Order: sequence, then C-alpha cells, then structure tokens
Amino acid sequence: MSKNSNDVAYTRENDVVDKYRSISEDTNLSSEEYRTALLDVFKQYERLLEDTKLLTTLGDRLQRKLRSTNILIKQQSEEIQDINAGLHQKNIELKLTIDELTRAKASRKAQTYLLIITFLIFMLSEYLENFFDNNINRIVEYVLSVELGTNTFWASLPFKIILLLLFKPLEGWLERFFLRQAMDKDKREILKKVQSDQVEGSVTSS
Amino acid sequence: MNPLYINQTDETPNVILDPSANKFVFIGNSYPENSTKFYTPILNWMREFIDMSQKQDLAVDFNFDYFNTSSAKYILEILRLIQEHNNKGNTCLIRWYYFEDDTDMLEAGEDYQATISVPFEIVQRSDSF
Repeated sequence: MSKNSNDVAYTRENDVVDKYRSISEDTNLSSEEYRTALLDVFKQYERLLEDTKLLTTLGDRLQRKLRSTNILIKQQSEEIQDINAGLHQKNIELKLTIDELTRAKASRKAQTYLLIITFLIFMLSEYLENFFDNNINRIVEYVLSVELGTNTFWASLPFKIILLLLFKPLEGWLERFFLRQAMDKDKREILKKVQSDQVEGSVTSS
Repeated sequence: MNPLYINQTDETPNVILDPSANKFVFIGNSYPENSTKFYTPILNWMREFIDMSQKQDLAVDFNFDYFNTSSAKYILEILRLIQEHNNKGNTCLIRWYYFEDDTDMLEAGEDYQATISVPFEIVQRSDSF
C-alpha cells in the first residue's frame, strides 16, 4: 500500500498506484494486457496532471490572497499606530490645556476672594487706627511719658505693613486651595463616570 | 439516510448535508489543522449517499471565504463525487458563491468549473446571504 493510504482525499490515486503495482509485478500477462494497462495508466496520469495543475493554481491563488491580506493588515496596523501616536500627542496637549484652564479659573476665583479680603482688611485697618488712637497711644504715652497726640500713623504702620505683606502669600494660598478643589471635583466626576460605565457594562453583559 | 451537520468554527466551514430537506451547503472558512480528519466523514457521507440514493437531484452550495490547499483537494473530491452522481442520471447543480471584490474566490470557482463536468453556477454573494 502506498504512503498516505489512510487519507481519503487520495483514495483514487492510492488505488491506481496499488492496482498498477500489482499489474507490473504480474509476469503472466500478455503484451496486449500490458498495453491496455499502460493506456489506463496514461489516462490516470493525465487526470492526475490536471488535478495537480488545478491544485497548484488554486494554492498559488490562495497564497496570493493570504499575502495581500497580510500586507493590508500590516498597512492598517501602521496606520492605527500613527493614529494612536497622534491621539496620544493630542491627549497630552488637551490635558495641558485643561490644566491651564483649571489653573486660570482657580486664579480668577482667588483674585475675587482676595478683593473681598482686601476690603475686609481695609475695614480692619481703619478699626485698628481707631483702636490705637483710643487705647494703645494712651498706654504708650503713659509708659514712655511722651506726647503722641492724635497721630496714630506710626503706631499702626507696622500692623498695616504686616497686613500688606500677607496679601501675596494669601493670594497664593487661595489659588492653590481653589486649584486643589477644582482637581478634586474633576477626579470625583471621572470616578463617577467610570462607576456608571461599569454599571452600564454589567447591565449590558447580563 | 441521516443528515450530516457540522458546526462552523473559525477554521472550518458550516456543513449541512440533509437529503430530506434537500439542503447541501458548505459555508465559511476551511483551513483545518487536520483536513483529513475534518473531510473524511464528509467524503464518507457523500460516498454513502451516492451509492445508496436511487434517484435524487442535488444542488450543492459552496460559500467559502477562504480555504487552504488541502481543503482545495478535498473540495475537488466532493465535486468529483457530485459529478459521479450526475453521471448516474441525477440532475446536479453546483452553486459557487463569492464576494464582489473577492476575485480570487471567483477565479477558484472558474477553475473548478473548468475541471468538473457538472452544471456549475458562479453566484455573486451579498452580505445578507
């Protein structure tokens, strides 16, 4: 029996091989019988040649199809990589823009609050001036035995300078406070969106 | 005769060989890891069908997206069996489907058509098939 005899795709070919092997080994056949067998072998061979041509053509075509598909996949993969790289860059730019926008918002809010605080400090300084005038000056005059009169300018000046110097750090502190607040809000919103997406996903899958 | 149903996978086609419903279909890809293992029951079924059936017309649909070379050989054997059935006086028809842009599958059908002497229709396939 020939090789691959268990392969049903080649049953016919295997049968031909087996048949003509036994004929070739039979020494009792006449020349006419050999001739008939040879003609039959020729027909079988012709058919096998046709099959081989067909299968080679089909094989080549399938290989070409596979190759062109592979090339297409490779091109698409490269295009996707380029798109991804572009998206990544855009994402970075977008994040920077959002950060700057958040910072600008926080800064504007801090300035508004600072304006209110400035007004309050102004009111406080006015009150302090009055306070110095009524209380501190008298104590200083009594302790130092000097006449300050109603001029409270020099006595209240250091306090006013301290209040003035507090403006800049206060502005920075307010800006950082509002920035942190805005970022926390963004984080909460993102978390909320992720959670709702997860809930939607589990509902869809169930 | 009992019908033969084989479910479709990524690598093997959906096969329906049902004489009572007069439905003979091959749909999908055909590049099994072991083509012999996959096609042996099909060829055996076809052989039995041809040997047993008295008079039955046969229309077989081949609707492949892709097939490998060993599958090509088995498809040829199936077509030869159909041809044998046709030569016995049964009316046989082979319908070979292809997508509009899949010229390779169209040409494969044309090659089979040229090799087999059975009525052979090459049909352009729509998505809704």
